[in-house]
Amino acid sequence: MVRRLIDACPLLAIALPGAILGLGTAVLMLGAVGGSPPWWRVDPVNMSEAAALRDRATVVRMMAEGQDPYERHEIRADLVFNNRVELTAIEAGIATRRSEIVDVILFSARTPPDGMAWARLKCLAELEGDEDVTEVLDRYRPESAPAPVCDDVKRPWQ
Amino acid sequence: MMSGTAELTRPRSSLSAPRAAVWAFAAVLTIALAYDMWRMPVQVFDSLQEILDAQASPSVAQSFVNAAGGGAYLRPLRIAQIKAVFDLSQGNYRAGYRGLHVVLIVALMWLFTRALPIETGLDAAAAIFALTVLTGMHTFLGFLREAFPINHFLEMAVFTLVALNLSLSRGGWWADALAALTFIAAALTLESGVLVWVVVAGAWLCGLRGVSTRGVLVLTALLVGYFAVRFWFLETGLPTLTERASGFLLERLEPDELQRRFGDSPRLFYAYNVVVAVLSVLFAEPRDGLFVATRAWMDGDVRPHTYLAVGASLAMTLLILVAAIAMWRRRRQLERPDRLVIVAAIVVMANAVLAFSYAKDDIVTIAGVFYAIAAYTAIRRAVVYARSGGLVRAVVVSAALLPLAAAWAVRSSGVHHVVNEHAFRTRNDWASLPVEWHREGRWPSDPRQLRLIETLRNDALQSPMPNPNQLPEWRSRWYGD
Repeated sequence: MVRRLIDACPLLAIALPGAILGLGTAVLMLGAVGGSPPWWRVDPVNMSEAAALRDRATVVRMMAEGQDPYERHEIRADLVFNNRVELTAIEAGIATRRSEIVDVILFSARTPPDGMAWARLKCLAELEGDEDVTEVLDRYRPESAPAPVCDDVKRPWQ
Repeated sequence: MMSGTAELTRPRSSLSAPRAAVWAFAAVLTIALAYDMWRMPVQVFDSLQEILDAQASPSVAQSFVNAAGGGAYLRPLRIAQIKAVFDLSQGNYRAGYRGLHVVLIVALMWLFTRALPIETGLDAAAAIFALTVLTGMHTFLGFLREAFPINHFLEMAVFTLVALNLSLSRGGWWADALAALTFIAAALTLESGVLVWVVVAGAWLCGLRGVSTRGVLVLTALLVGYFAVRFWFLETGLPTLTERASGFLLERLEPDELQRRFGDSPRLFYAYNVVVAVLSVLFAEPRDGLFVATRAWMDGDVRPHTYLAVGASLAMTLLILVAAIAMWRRRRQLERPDRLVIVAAIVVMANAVLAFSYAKDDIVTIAGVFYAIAAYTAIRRAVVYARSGGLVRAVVVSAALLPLAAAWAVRSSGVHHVVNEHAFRTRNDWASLPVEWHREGRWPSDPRQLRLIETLRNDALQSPMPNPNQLPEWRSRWYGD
């Protein structure tokens, strides 16, 4: 009995973690055969949520499928901000200070923002105080854009 | 020189239960890794331009010839392979390049498992442990994260494992011929290919003579020929300090800074790179030449995955060292696992020497594979030691080995997280590609090139990819990125 214990103990110690890893991986891979992603599942997101979560590729894909980047969508509470909020994808990029998101949306948009919309975005970027985002917005400034007057502009996110 | 014996070569035996268990475990890990590789988009950086060049090249032969002369590198087969896969893929570029990545991963896992002697339950347990070390090593990520668009470091690891398996075989003219072909293919693909010679020669010195003395002599002649062609006939130089940034102690130095600090006496920098390459494999620190864990510790921001990586590697290396000392003191005829440790030590050192020009973990990926082979022998010896005493010894040693094995299993399970992070970044790179290339004036006007980019980009954008920013934070804390 003791001899068997002496033989089995160290063997189990080195093989058990690997065996658990192997079994767990096998179960997850079997799930993948059934169409379930093996490592982790994430909730589907709308374009504004994708932008807030720094998912440039999903934003661009949605735009290519015809979705409007200037349309507001709900961003669920606790996904990025504490409270639920309705933002466009560009606003979400400004709110999370992701200049590359703002850049790729404005570059890929079929129509540029009109002058008033651009001025409002510029105000939001200045309120947020991110120089990179401000610089990107300047690059896409439409000719019709008025000088931004930001007194009445408030950030819709907290 | 150690004598070769018949029992050192692989016995011809049927699939025993221990061996079947190890193969099943290896298969599960391999399928999971292959799944990761298959769903990863083709890379943009250091990859798209290579594919565009392949498209422009008229033939595989022309690609080979064009890449054969000049510069600091001699890698004609690397370029020829990219062209060959491009042509063979017939427009299914992702299937071509990602498919080859899958094939290489399968080959690596198969050859690694095949090289381990598995006859008993003890061998099987040690082999399962070694597979978690192989896949849990930080260097293993170098096989998965990137491809340019073929992961040539992975290819080199496969070639060296082919060489090891040939050395472990019963031999014959075919083993010698295959070893020579393997060396030629490896050396003409990447500089690390000369490690095929190191493996064969090292194994021969250890008495593993599946590749005969004649075969080793042929390989040595090929090695001399390689150096002659490279440095004398083609006058291909060595990489200079100005070619790329490199880590040094706690900071990353740009080429200008490297030139300023070490331009007059690069030997100090080269010596540093060799030393940190060895340390990186043995202790998971430094990474890419940078003492990142030390820096994190100084900043008071050490994450669990750093403790896990450094702790597991430190303990494993100590165990290998103890096993090596015990092997030395036993002074008995060396068994096959003992000889594998010696070959592993030779390869780790040689691989580190090849990393002299700049510090990058990818270069020592082969050393990481052989480190895992050494881990097999060390853990096996530890179990033999635990079993050779009383119950107390068995329990105490087991209690020490269990957290070590658990740490490596956790590191191994983290591979999928890191690969997903990289796939997510790659997909985002494709999203921003037109923005950046237009801005840099690099966006092509040739319709063929545009079609190619569009195909690869659409493919990447359409790939469903979990967003790491939606996942619980513990994953990146424990697995890194």
